[in-house]
Amino acid sequence: MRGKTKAMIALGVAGATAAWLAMATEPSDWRYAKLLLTQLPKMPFRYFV
Amino acid sequence: MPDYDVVVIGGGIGGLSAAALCQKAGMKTLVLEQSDRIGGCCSTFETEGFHFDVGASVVEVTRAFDELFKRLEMPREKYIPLIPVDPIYDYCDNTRGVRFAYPTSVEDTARVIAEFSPEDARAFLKFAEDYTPKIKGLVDNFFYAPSLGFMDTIRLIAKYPQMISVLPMFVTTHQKIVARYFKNADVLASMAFQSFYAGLPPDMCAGLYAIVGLLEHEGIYYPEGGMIRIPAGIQQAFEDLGGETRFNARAVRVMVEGRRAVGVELWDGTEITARNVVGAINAKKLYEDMVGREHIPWHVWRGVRSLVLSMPCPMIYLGIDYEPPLNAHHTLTLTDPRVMNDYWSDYYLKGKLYVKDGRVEVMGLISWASKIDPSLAPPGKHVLTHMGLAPYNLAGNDWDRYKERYIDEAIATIERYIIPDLSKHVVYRDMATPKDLERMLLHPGGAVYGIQTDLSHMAVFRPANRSKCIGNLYLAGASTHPGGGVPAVVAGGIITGSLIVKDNA
Repeated sequence: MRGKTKAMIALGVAGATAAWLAMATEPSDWRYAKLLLTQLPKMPFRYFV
Repeated sequence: MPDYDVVVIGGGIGGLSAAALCQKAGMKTLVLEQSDRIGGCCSTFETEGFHFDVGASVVEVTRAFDELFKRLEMPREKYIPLIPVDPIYDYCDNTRGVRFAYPTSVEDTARVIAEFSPEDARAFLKFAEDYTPKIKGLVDNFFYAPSLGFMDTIRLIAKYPQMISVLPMFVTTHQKIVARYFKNADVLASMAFQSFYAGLPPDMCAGLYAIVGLLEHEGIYYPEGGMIRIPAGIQQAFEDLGGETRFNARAVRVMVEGRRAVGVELWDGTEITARNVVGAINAKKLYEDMVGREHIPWHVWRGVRSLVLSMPCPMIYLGIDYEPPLNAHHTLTLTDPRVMNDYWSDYYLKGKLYVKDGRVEVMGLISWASKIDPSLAPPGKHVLTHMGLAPYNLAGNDWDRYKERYIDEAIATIERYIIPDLSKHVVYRDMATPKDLERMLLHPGGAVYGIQTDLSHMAVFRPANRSKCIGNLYLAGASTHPGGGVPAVVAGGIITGSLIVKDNA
């Protein structure tokens, strides 16, 4: 699988996770949600480590 | 021809487990340990007749050891004799007159809880009923499966379809899961604090860790002779298979040619060539300091730089001249989960120590190892260790300067809540600050659990056991999959060793 394809898949998974979080998160989870939202842009890069 | 088939950097339990499996497969394997003691954070040191555990103080999920020794076709009991520890925890708060202990048996624990909260006792049994099957599935599958990419996740789900029912635990929080069951503040706290084993407060830790409070009821154990017996046992098995361990051999560089690891350079300039290199040290340190920016593609480098280190755990070591008034191997004072959560934002991230009523309180887990194994202290004396949580950078101060004061504050805290007059019985005291842990064990930031364990650093987003950018380079230890803690690190070593054997078949 080429790097670009992998990056697209990683971005897709990160996006899906964001959507899932948005649907599943309750106000009491805001700190966890904030943590994950700040980490989301980094996750596609971490996938390659 | 390379000097070795496999060279492992780091003599911790993850590296040793991988090394033993490689040696078992007939690969000529060398383990390089930078100090003169095996085990890293899971080890024991001796001073003035007292034997103190460096960090890890107990072991649970012994299935990880059993799995390793099963694959080595050697008897685990011979190499790592384990003593059951029961009760699991004693919770004590003399300021409120609260004291209760959780035994190993789930039913007996429910009886203990029922004495002050019948509703939570029923909830505990329900919690056990709901999550025990999930624990078995997770430990037997997720723990030993590589997580190199999305295909591995698909394979895992195909092999263990029930994994789908576990996935929500990754996106919810530890606190949310336990709060569904428990209402009594003490019971809730007793099920919530284990999130700190992953280096995060309950409302920021992945819900997966909520099972730890239950997992402990499968039994916790202490090795005869101290925690060092675990790495020493694996090392012995490795050497019985013909493997070689070299002490005081500090690796400074992974030699890379054409994007493939070809060996290791030691601090004295010695070069050791190998077909495969295992970095059983912190992944961030491995890539940033030992492999180097020049060998790593920009997008991988960006991922490495983004990794967040786990919370440091300062350790206090006390030798005392009497038998302490404790009831269990592990004792702690429960803290309201709201305080645990606020500690993160109000203190930890600001570089502060926790302050209550105008004084620093050093909360943590007390381990009384000489209760289980009296040989760890001179006759009539005992050893206590205290594992706390504190920032690596102290605002307006420095750990080297603050160290003695921190020990005083920890002893004063223990006296207030658990052991009155402790200070009168201390005959030996020392501590490993986060900076000491960094210097002694080469854990950057004193992060003994490696990389933070939130969803964004788990499974495919955690540094992979087989490097994705450098050929023939593998990783083991707390910062790789499946994560930190003694059983997880051994399981990670099994994954790494198995990958090397498979790749070289």
